[in-house]
Amino acid sequence: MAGDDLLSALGDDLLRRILHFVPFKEAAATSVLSRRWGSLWRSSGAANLAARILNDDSVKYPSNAFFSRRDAFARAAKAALDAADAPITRLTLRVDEEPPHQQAYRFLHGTIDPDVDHDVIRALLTHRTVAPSVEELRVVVVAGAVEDLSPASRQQEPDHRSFDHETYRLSLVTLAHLRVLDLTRCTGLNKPPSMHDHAVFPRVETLRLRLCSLSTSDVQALMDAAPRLASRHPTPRIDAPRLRYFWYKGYERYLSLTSLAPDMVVVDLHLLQDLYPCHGLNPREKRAVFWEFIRSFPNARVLKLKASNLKDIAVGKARRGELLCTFRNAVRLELEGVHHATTSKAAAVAIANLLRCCPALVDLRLRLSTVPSNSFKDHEYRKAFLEREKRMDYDKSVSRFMDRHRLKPAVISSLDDNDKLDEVVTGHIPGLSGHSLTCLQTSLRKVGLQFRMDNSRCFGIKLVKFFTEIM
Amino acid sequence: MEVDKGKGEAEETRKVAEADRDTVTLKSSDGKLFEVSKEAAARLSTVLAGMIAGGSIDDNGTDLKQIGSEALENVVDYCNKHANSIPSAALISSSISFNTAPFKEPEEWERKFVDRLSHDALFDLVEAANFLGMERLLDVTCHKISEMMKGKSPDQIREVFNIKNDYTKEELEEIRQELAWAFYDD
Repeated sequence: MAGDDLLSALGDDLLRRILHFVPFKEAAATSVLSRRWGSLWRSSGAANLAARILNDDSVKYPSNAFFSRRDAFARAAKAALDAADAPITRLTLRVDEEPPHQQAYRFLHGTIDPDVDHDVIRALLTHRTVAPSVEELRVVVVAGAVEDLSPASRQQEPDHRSFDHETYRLSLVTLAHLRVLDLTRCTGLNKPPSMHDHAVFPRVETLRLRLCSLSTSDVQALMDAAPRLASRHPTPRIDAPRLRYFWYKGYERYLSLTSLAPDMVVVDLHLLQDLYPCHGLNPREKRAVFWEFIRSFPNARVLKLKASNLKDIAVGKARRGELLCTFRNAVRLELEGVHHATTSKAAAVAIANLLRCCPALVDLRLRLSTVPSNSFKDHEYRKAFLEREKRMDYDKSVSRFMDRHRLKPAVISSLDDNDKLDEVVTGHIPGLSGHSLTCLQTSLRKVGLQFRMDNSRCFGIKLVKFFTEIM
Repeated sequence: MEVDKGKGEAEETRKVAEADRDTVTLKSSDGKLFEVSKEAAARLSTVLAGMIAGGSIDDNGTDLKQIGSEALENVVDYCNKHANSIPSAALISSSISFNTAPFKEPEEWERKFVDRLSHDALFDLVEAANFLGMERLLDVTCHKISEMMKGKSPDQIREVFNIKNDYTKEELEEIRQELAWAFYDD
């Protein structure tokens, strides 16, 4: 095709923008196109490091050829970073492995001596042209033929099972300007020995985890490393289509699953009291965060929820339609939380909310404790108090189990409070009574209640009465 | 869904425009008028957003003297398709605007949109997107050009883009020596 060189006629910035997307060796090779291109690639600010693990004899164990190829890649990657004459702001590492050999981990972390570890990724992240400046970091391990990870193609990906192996561990090294962290098929983190109060990713606002299998302590470490994720705008995303058990203990955060987990069995959520409420979310936001969080698990069969304050999850009529969701498979709900000593309305609303969400619930367990309102002043004190109070509560608590098959509720408790129970006048509970809750009429068979007996009018006793009457 | 381009869609746009008047009229360098959703234009183009906010939009057609009618038609087409396409969940829930969002792979319709463009039209569109401050469209078009370069030798790239090699043999050899790692296939 004869014609003008439209490409070279573009401005430098546009050519750099094009080079953003070109793999590193090809980007460097543009030097030879013409003088116009010369050193342009060095200032693109992006490095797309790409390695392909060939499926040939060299992958057989042990192999000098395998590691010499890997070392050649690491040298070339280093050369590319060395050659940059503008700070690298976008770094991508993409490793293509060809099934059936699953050699990504060996490629990224192995050495010829099985006892010696190596960390290709760490070496890249700590490079002088990367560490001080990188803003977007992507690490991807891809199965041979899959060309990209756009949602459309991802659904056609042949077999997730081929990725049940370890692929890479991300070292948490300080990247002061990182904004976007995008990990695909990451299987672990290397945490520095003392990570406490050390935000290694102080500016990360976007975290994408795709097909990663990280332990919850790793997820938590990522959250701690990137404190901005806790603020309300960015939403950490977890893509784990085969997730079956989700356990989270931490502060309320926006967190969502990008693909629904169809086989979800247990969601175990323990929301901690925010130590610094002034930095945290207001009550309205807290509610939204909680419900958006659990909304990610519509298929869960068991929900275990612990909230430091049931008020934080109670949704009034106005926002019910907006926030509540349905867990149609949920058969068991365990709710543990603290409610206000004098008013239990919020706790009742929270319980009603959750019962409404679980139309097929069979087994309900409630563990309730109270906190006096005057201890809300000092946060540190309050936290210590809460811990102590809770323990005390359960030592002295009343447990009550009710079974639909039995006519009378049975008290299972070391405390003999049967007399007091008789004093309860009514089982009417504002916020809970009078609502039409499917599970109460149909599926619910077992209720377990644990609460502290403050007085005969306490919320726990009202609940006992309430469930006794309806069951 | 909206695979067909051209008049049908332009008319469609006009109908929508009459219905709620939520459009702006843009005039190409050769005097053709195009109507585009005000919301999409403001969202996708920093320059148009500035003009809309600053009130410098002309009801009879805002002059865009730097952009030819073919490129402007593509810009408008892109904006309208963007307005019609169902944004991914990530984009809905995120408060990050398109202009500062981290790069995401082009979506299927965006790929199709740039794939059907001729070589000339693609480069005109890059310039237009650059002029209008359309970051997403710039990414999509630049990504397309990068894909035309990928997997090709320097000679092949020169051929595709009509790049004239103005180096001497010695200079070329020197660069290849210096960047041996880039030319060595592992």
